[in-house]
Amino acid sequence: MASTMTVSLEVNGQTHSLDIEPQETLLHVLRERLGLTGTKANCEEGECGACTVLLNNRPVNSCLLLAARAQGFRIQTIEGLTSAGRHTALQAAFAQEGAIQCGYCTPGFLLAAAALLDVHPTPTEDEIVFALSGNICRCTGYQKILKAVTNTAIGVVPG
Amino acid sequence: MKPFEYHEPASIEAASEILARYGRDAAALAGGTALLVDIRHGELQPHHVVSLWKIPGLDGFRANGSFQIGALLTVNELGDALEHPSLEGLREAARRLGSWQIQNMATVGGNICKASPGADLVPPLLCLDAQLALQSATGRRDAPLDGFLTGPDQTALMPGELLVSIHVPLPPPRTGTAFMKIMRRQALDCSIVSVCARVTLDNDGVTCREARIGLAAVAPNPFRAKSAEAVLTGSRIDDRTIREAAHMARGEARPITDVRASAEYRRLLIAELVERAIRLAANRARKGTGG
Repeated sequence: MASTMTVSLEVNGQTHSLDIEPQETLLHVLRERLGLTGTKANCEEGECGACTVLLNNRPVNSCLLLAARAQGFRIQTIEGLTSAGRHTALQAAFAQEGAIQCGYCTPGFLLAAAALLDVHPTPTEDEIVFALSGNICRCTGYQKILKAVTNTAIGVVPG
Repeated sequence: MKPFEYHEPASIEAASEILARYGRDAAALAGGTALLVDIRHGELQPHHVVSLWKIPGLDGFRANGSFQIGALLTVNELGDALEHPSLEGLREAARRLGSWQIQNMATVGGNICKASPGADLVPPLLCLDAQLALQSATGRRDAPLDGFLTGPDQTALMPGELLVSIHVPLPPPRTGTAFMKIMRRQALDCSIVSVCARVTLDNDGVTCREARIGLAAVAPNPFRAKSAEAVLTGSRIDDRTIREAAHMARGEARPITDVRASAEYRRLLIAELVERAIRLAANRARKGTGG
């Protein structure tokens, strides 16, 4: 019988002390213990990117990360993305380009794209394609997502 | 996921003791990108997961004549750290592994010790004559990567032994490496075939002094196609030699038919990719750059 453990997680700038079981993934803790359901559960084997969150500004699959391992990192979820100006522009560009349909993959795409624009404010198309290659969308066909990220990078203001 | 106990030892000795005590009931946690999937699918059911992340000194990359890669260096960090032009093949393998998310989590040591038939980093590391530093509570030893993998999901690690770091000797002058792989899509898939070639040229710039050909996803483990290497060594790198080497590499592979491709298609790909990889590696060796 596995014992519970206490972990301290910094999520979107807030520190949470939580009693969890060791096998709980960060995805599980975010959704079930913190109620942050913007992070989506889907394939749960690191192939679809719906569960993408940022650890110290780098995208990871939260389904493959034990919550215990996420201690000491700055964790950012889609709920924490909305306040910063650049990311609001990114979200607006997704809406403007129709880079969203059912929306299930969108939080993951937005976080991966935001992480890319943090490192490469003016990425090449290849860099965008690589940055988004860990995220699967079954609705849009990707071109609109690519356009939304490009527009954000070159400063096209949706309107 | 099935419950397990989580251990965070702060030293190699402590980790080694836990792993030795519980044997097959324990699993070492590096990046977790393979382990958590195996646990979730029930392929592994360890009651003890031993995180290696509290152990100091297992990460990092040092370039000091040769190259020292910490077992817990992430694949993304590896890609960022590799600047030496002769290591271009390893950099290419790192950049094409999984996805950005996976590269930020998966580790070099994990990619080796998972011993997957398609492990992307293994062909280039084989081509670079990588040596492994292995340590347990009772001692430390070095072992060549070549021979370390003993079957799918099997390594020559002794009970309680851990991979600590990977040592890559400085390649000789006029060395080029190139990595190529074919997948069903351009990310997040296991390779159908992957190939790394290393060519070290003589002073004359046309004769091959030393060659390595590493293949993955076409045998129980990635391996060196040594008969292909023998064809290249001491020969002029021309079309006939390259084709002959590719033919030998194809003959050494033992591909299977699976969900990704047929064995016959894999054989066709091996011949083609080995040819291309040798050409690119030789071009890079001639230029003395990674480009």
